[in-house]
Amino acid sequence: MAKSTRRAISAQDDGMSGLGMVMRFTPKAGGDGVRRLESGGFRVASSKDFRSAPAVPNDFEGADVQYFERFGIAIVRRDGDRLKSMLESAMQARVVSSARPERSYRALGTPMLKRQVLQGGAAGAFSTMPDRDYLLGYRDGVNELIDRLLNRGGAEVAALAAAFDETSSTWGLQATRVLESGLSGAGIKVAVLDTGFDETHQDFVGRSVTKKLFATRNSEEDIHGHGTHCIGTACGPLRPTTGPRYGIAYEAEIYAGKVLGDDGRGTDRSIIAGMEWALDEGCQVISMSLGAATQIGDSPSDDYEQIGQVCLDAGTLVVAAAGNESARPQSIAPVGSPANASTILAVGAIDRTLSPASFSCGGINPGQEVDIAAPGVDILSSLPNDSYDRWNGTSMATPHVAGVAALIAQSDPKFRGWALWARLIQITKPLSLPSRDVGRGLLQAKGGGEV
Amino acid sequence: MGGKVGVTIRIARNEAPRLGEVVDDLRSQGLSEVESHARFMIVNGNVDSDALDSLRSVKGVESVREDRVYKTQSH
Repeated sequence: MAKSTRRAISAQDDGMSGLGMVMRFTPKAGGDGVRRLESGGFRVASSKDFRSAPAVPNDFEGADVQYFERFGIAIVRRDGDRLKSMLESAMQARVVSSARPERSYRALGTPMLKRQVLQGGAAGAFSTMPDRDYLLGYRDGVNELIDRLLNRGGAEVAALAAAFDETSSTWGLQATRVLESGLSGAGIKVAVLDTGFDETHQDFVGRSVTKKLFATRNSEEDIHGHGTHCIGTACGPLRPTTGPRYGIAYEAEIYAGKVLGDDGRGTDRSIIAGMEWALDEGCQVISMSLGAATQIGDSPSDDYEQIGQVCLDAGTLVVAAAGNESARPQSIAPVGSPANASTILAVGAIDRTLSPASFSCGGINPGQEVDIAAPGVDILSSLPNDSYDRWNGTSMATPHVAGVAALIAQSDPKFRGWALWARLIQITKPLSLPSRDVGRGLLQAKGGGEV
Repeated sequence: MGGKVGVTIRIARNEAPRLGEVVDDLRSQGLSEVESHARFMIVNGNVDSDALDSLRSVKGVESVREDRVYKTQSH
């Protein structure tokens, strides 16, 4: 549509006496909504009625309601008590998902706006009504677009994010229902193959910790800090020395294999050696917040297919980070290695609004899916030298899964290997997001409830 | 002659009874700093980069792959 035409359909510019109400129907409920309007005495005209017409009249030839079927939106021109009561019942019946007053829009980059930006620059320059309307309309348009891309309402997202009060526990533990599980991971051995672990951290005094160095030519300590952060999430304490609870399996036995060097990098040799050590030690869970990027069209490594299978057969579940190479929404990178092996549980990251983290890799290559999603943005956990900080990454999502896996493994000895994998997947909370991004859904420590 | 590279070698699982023999054959083809993981039927080691095909020719070897670098997934 040309800018001049878009300007011409502005409610204010075409002389309409007032603006209407914009109703958004819930998916597939548009037909029901229209019937409700018609039975309430509203005359409804659909955009489809004008499909073959050379032009669409702005007022849909005087109809009370303009219905845009493809968008699931209706604009009601006639207001009043009847509309109010109809709206209330339609929203209760979930036929209508939202309603808001219509706003006026004008073409982007009008000379007036440009001049004001150049001359004023400050917010005060937009104090006159037309520009305020323009900004409000623009804001609504952007919000509407984002809501549609996210497949849910902005209010719901905001409410969800605000619901996580981190006074007593991190949002990650709340979103995964760890606090409701009542389990501690006692009797379960969790191996975290990473950059090492500062077992002298004040929050881990008295814990059962076994350490082993595989990344030769490196220090035995966790110089990098990544390993201590991941272990904090998977196995941190019930009551930390300071701050909110951030750890999940607080009575699990910790096996810290240093397979990555002080620079946070390592090779197959040390990783495979660490995995075999964990298996020999009888760990029920192996957590690997590490990976190497893959390309579109790559196949998984047969080596890790085989290693993962051996672990599962032995009753050990391996979880690994899906990778951080995406830059959403522009690009989604495929799940990295070794998480792309079908025998290793691939973990994607979500943020506080339960949306995929911008960096989280997706199931782009066939058969190399994200299996499950877990909190991976703004994650508070332990760091060496009695420190704490918030980190982002599928690295942070992975130990959430490892910790919860330990709780589930504690709950029943039959939950080992594939059975543990299946149980984790079975009790996920489905998300209204592509499985490409979140697999079967959000990790849950306890099934059958709402977050 | 190329430089030394780290390799991950996958051995056929039905060769488990003679893994030691396969490893010896790999050594004879130039594999050094060998670590053998019997449970996984995986062998790691270093070899000249131009000797990969000679490792692949050893009986019982299913694949030979140059090691990759893995890193933490945080930022």
